[in-house]
Amino acid sequence: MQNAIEFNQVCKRYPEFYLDHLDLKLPTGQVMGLVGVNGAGKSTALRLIMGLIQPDSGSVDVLGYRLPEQQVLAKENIGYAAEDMRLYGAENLRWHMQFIQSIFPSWDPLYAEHLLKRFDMNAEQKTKGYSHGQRVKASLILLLARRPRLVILDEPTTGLDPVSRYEVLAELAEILRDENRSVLFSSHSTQDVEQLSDSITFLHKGKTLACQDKETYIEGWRRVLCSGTLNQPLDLPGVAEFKSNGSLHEIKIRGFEDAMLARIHAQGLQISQVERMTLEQIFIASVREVAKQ
Amino acid sequence: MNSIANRAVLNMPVIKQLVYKDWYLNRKLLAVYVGGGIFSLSIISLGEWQFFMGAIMFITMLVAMGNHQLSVTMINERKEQTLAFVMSLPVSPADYAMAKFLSNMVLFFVPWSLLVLATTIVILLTPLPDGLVAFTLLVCVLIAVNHCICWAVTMATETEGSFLLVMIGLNCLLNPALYLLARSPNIGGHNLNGDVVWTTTATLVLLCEILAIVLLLVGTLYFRSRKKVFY
Amino acid sequence: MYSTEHSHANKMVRPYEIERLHYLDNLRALAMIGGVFFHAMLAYSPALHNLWLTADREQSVFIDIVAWFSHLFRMPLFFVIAGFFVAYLVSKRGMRGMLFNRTKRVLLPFIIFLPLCLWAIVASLMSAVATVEYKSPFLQMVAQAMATPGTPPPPFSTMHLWFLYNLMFFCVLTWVFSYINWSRLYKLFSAIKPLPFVLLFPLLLIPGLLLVESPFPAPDKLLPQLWAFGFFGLFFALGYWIFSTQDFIDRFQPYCIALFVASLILYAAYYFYIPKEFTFPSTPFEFPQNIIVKLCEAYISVWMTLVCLVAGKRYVNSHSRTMRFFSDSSYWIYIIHLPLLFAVQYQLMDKDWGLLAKYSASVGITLLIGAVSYLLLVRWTPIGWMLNGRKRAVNKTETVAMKQ
Repeated sequence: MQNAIEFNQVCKRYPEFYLDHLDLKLPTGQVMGLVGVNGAGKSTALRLIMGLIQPDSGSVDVLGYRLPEQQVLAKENIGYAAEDMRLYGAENLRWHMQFIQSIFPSWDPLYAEHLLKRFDMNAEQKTKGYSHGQRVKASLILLLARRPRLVILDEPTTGLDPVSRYEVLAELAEILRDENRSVLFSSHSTQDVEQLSDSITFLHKGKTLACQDKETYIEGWRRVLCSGTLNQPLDLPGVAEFKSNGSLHEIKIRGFEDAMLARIHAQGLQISQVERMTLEQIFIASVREVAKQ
Repeated sequence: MNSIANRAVLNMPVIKQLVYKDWYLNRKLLAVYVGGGIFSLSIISLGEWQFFMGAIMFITMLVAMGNHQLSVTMINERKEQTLAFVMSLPVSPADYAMAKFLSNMVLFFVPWSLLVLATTIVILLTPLPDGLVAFTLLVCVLIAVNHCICWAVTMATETEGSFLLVMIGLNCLLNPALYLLARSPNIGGHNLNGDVVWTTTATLVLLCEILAIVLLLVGTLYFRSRKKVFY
Repeated sequence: MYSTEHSHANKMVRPYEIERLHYLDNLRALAMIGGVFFHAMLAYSPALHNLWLTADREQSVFIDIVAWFSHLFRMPLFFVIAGFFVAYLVSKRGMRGMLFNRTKRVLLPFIIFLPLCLWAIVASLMSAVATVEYKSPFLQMVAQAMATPGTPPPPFSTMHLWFLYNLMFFCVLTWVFSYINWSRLYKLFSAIKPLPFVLLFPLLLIPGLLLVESPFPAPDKLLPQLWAFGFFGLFFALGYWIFSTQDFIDRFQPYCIALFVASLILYAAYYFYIPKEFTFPSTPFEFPQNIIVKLCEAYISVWMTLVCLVAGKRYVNSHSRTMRFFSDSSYWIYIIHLPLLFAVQYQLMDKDWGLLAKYSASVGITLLIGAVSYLLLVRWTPIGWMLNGRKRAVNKTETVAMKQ
């Protein structure tokens, strides 16, 4: 199967930031969540995908096109919405819809009307007065009604009220049913990523911390609570975080296997609880681990 | 792959839509300038001081419209973050540059041609001395040069500061340039002549002006389309 | 795609049904053909004797009285109707559609026919200078100028096609002014009672009229004339708003005769004051005569325009093949009438006929040639499509649109 997005050892250097040999593959029809704190490199990655910036080294291929050289061909099939993207304030959404329609033959007017209703949007209102939520929904209508093969969303749910967030996520879940459509969205809300995506990529300070199928990835993490006294530092591979409070210990483990519990036991600790972790917990643990190093 | 071929071909349908979009977004301002332009033309034939007021008003409308259009279509697009929206469309930086070239130049050169035509006709068909033709033509082309400089600088820098600086600078320089042209014995020297006098100096100045316009436009377009990416 | 801007205009529009438009079509045709009668009269006008190319030896004050009366409201009436149809186009096709349509129907004929008419006029003038024995004073002046090398060329003129040129400006200004919110003023306009209207609206025309001599000349310069905007432009605006005020014309029906009589009385005063022999450049009126003359011009032009609209609605609101032919051919006839009329009148200048015979012959021949050439050259050719649109297709769509 062709990959919708393929990053090969991509580097991009800015004075304050370095995107470090990024490898990223999004198979067609998959949904990938791009997770990272602010400044992790999510927006840079998305701009590379849109061909807006030139990588210093490595290669970026999107929908089979080399970027940025073939950005026009690629962008014909990419729907892109970014947090810092604004519509023309003096015009209404209807005008924007007509504008997009005049450029993309794939525009589906019926679907656009459906989305308008679904998001409870007034197409005749000038976009200047839009709230943040309305702006996000307007961008989504404009890009989804084109029915693009690849959807790139930069922080689509950030700052939305619970109702808008629910509506946006529900609509995204709906479009994800299409097997030919691939989606990449960045977020610092791990909850959304957990809810929507098939795979996740953790970015931190320009480096990939993880790039994996979501289920496998989450399955690989455990939070182990135990008690007892350690005479020497815990000898265990994949410990992302180790916290002690007197004789109580909390261990967060990456790449967990059942045999690890026996190893912990062998080092004199009584295991009281082993639990799965949420993506958010995993995310925090990973970032803090890197920060410690 | 055929990347070079892909880059060389401009995406004309989208460019056309971008140009329409720029004009449409600017339609109210355009209406004001068109209204002002018609008004200034309509007062020209009322009398002597009205002639000068109308002519200067028309030129002001033309220059102001050109500058306004530049700032709305290029600087505001960046400032108000609508550029990201445009960049998400299937356009390359070369397409974008071409769209900005067309939307700004057509809008300027259509009324500009009217200005040239109207002033020439007025001079030739009214009691004004025909010798003024050379001088006014050179001034008209100079105004076009100024617009092209403004456009080129705005395309290159896309910042409000540099645009304002250049605009103010050029407007300040226009007066000395007019003075020089008027004082030149081979150009302004024939202003009161009853017949059209076209000298080698006039040809030289005109050629320089046209060369400047061509270099500015072609150069800017060339450098902009060499850019592979927007940022 | 860019049609959202017209929502304001659309809101105001209550389109007339198709039946109601006939009288405007017919009135417009009358105003055009009236132009032929008017221009033919000028050859026999004592007032214009020194300034008109085809000024004849036969003259009558009666001609002056009639000609300058019709001059006060014929073109104002035309511009009211033009404004009405522009509003109709905007409501039907949007601002862009209107501008496109008017470019095709107004600007294009102007660009095509102005050089042709100029050429025809100059050609017949040259031949008249050589052949006419009883030359008019103006013709003599031309002959003299031609004999003296170095005489400056005459000022450029858009001639009788000035109304197309001005109309195009008005169409562009319609777009310009569409961005202003007129709703309050329009509300005032649509609610205004007949009496305040007939007393107040003419006052708006005074500034424009003050910029120009009396009787007002044709704004036939290449540079647009401010006074024409303030005079004909306001009539155009009036027509534009009448379109969306359905019963506007009906309101004046009870006052029709009174307005007509009042106009005649004012015209007596007006005729008393205007010079009996026009000069170029004209001598300006002294105060307060100038105010009286301008007030007369303003009131007569508005009142008589209203009278024509009311009378037109009552008497010429019919639709038949004859009327259709009349209204369709009038545009073409008007465009070509002046060179034709001049050519005919040059020939008549040396004839010893009476005034009425000369006048009837010049008008009759011009109209006949106009109508025949319309039938042969225009009606079913691209010229006709340009001037009046494609016959059957247009009629059908118009009817359908109106019924909806």
